[in-house]
Amino acid sequence: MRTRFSLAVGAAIAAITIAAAPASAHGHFEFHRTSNLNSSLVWVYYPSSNPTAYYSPTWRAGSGDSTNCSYVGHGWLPTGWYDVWGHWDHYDSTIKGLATYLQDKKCGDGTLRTQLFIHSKELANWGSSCETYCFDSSSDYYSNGCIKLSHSGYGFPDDIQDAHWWWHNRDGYSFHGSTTVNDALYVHS
Amino acid sequence: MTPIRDLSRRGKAAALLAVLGFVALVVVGVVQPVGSASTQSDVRTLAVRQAAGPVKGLFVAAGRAEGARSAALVGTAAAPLSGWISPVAVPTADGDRLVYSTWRELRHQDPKLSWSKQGIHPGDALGKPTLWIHDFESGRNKAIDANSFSAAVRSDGAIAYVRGTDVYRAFTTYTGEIVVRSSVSAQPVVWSAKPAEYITAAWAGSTLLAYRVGEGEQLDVLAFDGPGKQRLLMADANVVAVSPDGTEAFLANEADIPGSVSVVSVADGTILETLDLGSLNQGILWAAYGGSWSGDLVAAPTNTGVAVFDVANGAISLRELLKSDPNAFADGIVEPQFSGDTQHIIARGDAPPGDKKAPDEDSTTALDCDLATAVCLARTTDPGRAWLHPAYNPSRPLKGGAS
Repeated sequence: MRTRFSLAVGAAIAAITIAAAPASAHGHFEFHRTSNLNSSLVWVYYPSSNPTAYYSPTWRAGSGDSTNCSYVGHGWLPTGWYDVWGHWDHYDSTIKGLATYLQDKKCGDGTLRTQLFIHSKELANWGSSCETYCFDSSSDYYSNGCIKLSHSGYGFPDDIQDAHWWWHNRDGYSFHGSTTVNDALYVHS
Repeated sequence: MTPIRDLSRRGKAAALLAVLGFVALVVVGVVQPVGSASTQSDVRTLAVRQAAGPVKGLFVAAGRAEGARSAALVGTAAAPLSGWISPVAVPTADGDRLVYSTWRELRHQDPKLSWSKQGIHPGDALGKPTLWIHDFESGRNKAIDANSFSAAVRSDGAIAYVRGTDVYRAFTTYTGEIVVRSSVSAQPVVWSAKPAEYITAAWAGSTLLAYRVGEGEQLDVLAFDGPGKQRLLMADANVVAVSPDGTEAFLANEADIPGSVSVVSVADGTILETLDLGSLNQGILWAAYGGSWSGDLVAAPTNTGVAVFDVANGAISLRELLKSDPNAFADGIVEPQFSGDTQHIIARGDAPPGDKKAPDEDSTTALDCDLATAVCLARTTDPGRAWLHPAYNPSRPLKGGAS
């Protein structure tokens, strides 16, 4: 895992009370659904026992290619709190690289959204190959419903690595692999 | 005709449709012969008017079938594990029976809260699908199989479906097998090579088309030629529709955005024609499942509305793009099905939830659209939880009068 001191310096650590109540002593991600291509993700944490929330920088993030939650494989992910099912640095399946696996969640009509991750479009070793996996266009923020962050190499910031750093280093989690983590993501409407 | 929903909801629907009617007055007749010189396809916005009576087609919602046939089902036809990737209710080829899925929630879930906050632990049982068949003449409902959903019904009555290995459990991928019964009373035969997260799509002749759901909800289209005989037809793709003779499939590839559409030979997977959606310059990013194919025309749901493709003469071209009015159905028009001819489609229009509704629950409206005038008659508007859907049979070839 890369250490990113610049992030710590540049972080907009704001003492702002958040809308979503703190869920645990650990930090959590918050995803604000704005559009499929241009929503935002932020890491929220509580460095002391007081209830003041601190924030990471905000990263541009995408989800889905439709705003219809029930459109399986197209709609953005449902709102609410999510547990995490696992976290990997070098995941190597259909999803590759940094990957955080989210619990299933139902939309308002009961449709279940499954197989959801926070991830980018990169190779398992964090490299790029535009024949298969590279983040070289804004359209790469589209997904089937997962939360997508950018990967460096083609003019985009390495937001997946930045989010990863905050996950591990600011009241987050040290584990890798299949582990259940409570209330690790909140999705705002 | 017996209304699908109670009168109070119809009152709300009337109010919504009055607004839609006003919108219709504004947009009706707006025809733009837009497109590159090579396509010359019409682009129109579908206007919406309230239907004076019943609309064509067969729909299911809130435990009833309405339209061409009327019936009380054993429960709401719903398939939370597949949405409308495959139809939630499928008429048999003769139209006399209806195969449908139901869902029983074994433990209530509050979508605002995480599973852990609700005391739901890994492995806890959360839901159970069941596959049913309704006989319109007798009015009887009979369970076909438990832990089962997503039916494809062949013209000879064979039924393929997904039979899960268990109920749906927390933090557990819902895997199952694809099984085929030659008739409702016959024993199921396993066709899939191994358990996976499957969803059936349609029969194409004697070949079953189905999906394997992967990470990130990626859909891979598989072809099953018999027990244990499965092959990949196209990765990261949707089955839009099957050709009338069952020999070809119209697939939408989603590996890139904008994606592409292809006509594929079911027998050997040969890609016969492909059209890159980005080349149309119409803002079409993707086409999806739930379309239909009649004659040389394919109606496909897309991010911009219903695209009607012409597949005659060995090429795919966009004949017409019927945009959904964002003031009426901002979340799109889904499951467009040709009804009787290629001038009419039935479909469902989706509108985002209002402030007072449950999060992520769209309002859904049954539509009967005349492609000549680009006007849709809207009948009922239901909350998403009613699972209003066209009931249709995407398998081909079909004998009889099923839509």
